[in-house]
Amino acid sequence: MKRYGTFLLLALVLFAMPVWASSIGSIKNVEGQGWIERGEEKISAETGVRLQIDDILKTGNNGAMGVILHDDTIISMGPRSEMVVSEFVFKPEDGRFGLLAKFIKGTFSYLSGVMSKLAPESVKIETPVGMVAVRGTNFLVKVED
Amino acid sequence: MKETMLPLLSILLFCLLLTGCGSKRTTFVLLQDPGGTVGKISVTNEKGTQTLKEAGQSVVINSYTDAPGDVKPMEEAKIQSLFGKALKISPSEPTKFRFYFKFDSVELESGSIKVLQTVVQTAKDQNSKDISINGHTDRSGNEAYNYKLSWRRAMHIQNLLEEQAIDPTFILTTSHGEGNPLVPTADNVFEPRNRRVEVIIR
Repeated sequence: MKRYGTFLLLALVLFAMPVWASSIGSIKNVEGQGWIERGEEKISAETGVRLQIDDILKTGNNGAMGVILHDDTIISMGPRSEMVVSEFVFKPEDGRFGLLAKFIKGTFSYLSGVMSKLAPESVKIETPVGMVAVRGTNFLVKVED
Repeated sequence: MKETMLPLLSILLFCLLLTGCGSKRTTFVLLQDPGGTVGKISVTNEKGTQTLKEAGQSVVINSYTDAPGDVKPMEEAKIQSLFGKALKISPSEPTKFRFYFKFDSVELESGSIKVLQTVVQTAKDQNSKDISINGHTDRSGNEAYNYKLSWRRAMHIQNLLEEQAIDPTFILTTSHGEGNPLVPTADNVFEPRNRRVEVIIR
């Protein structure tokens, strides 16, 4: 009986895995030119497009974009901006957390999600001039070219 | 001629790759949270750390090899002129709902039946294309069984939403079993508040 249960659990985990593994959040708002670079692919930014680890998010001269990650972290970008989320682990059921976002250039607004409340030390924002440690909050960053 | 140019050119290219084209001067500004409280951020590089604790405080770092500058207040007008477009496009916080279930069942508690219409209306009003459905159980019964039960609860809600014309490609359904309780309890404890499905509309 117990073995049967374990097997079922494994089957369910494997079944659900592809969705869990691939999506870390989605695009909510877009204005003007915005896109995602995923390996060789270039994906036009639209509401509902799901984000993956290491996607490069970019906006053009008049572009702006806002995304919501699965722990409810909200990040938005103004024109001529570029960022990557290179780590995202949100598994409250196992107590595992991790978020690393890299603000490469442009303007950003950041609003903490659940991860900042449950495990603030696991959230880091990288910029070209230094790292930001976040204690449950809302802030802005502008990286000049 | 070629031989003398080549090392110079390589050095120039290397510097461009290493530093990019500009200084990367970066400005950080702390804001008030939507709930009215103010958190804090610390900005750190090899040369030092600076902490912002009050809304409207800002700090500038000129480059990776410069220490963070002094903490200075930034006026609202300046904030708007620098960050207006990013602030304007920033999405609203997600809306969350909970459905509660009868013991060892996918049947909704009577009080939760009316939640469905609110969820459907909110998803449509917000033009949501990202809806999470997370199933949970309490800790009575074994872990594997509960994982399956919370999956069935979550799928039940997914089916109800689909019946109300919510596009299934917008929905991401997961099962948390007994591992992520709203109210932590010892094992094998009945706790109706943990028998739930949470729906997050983004």
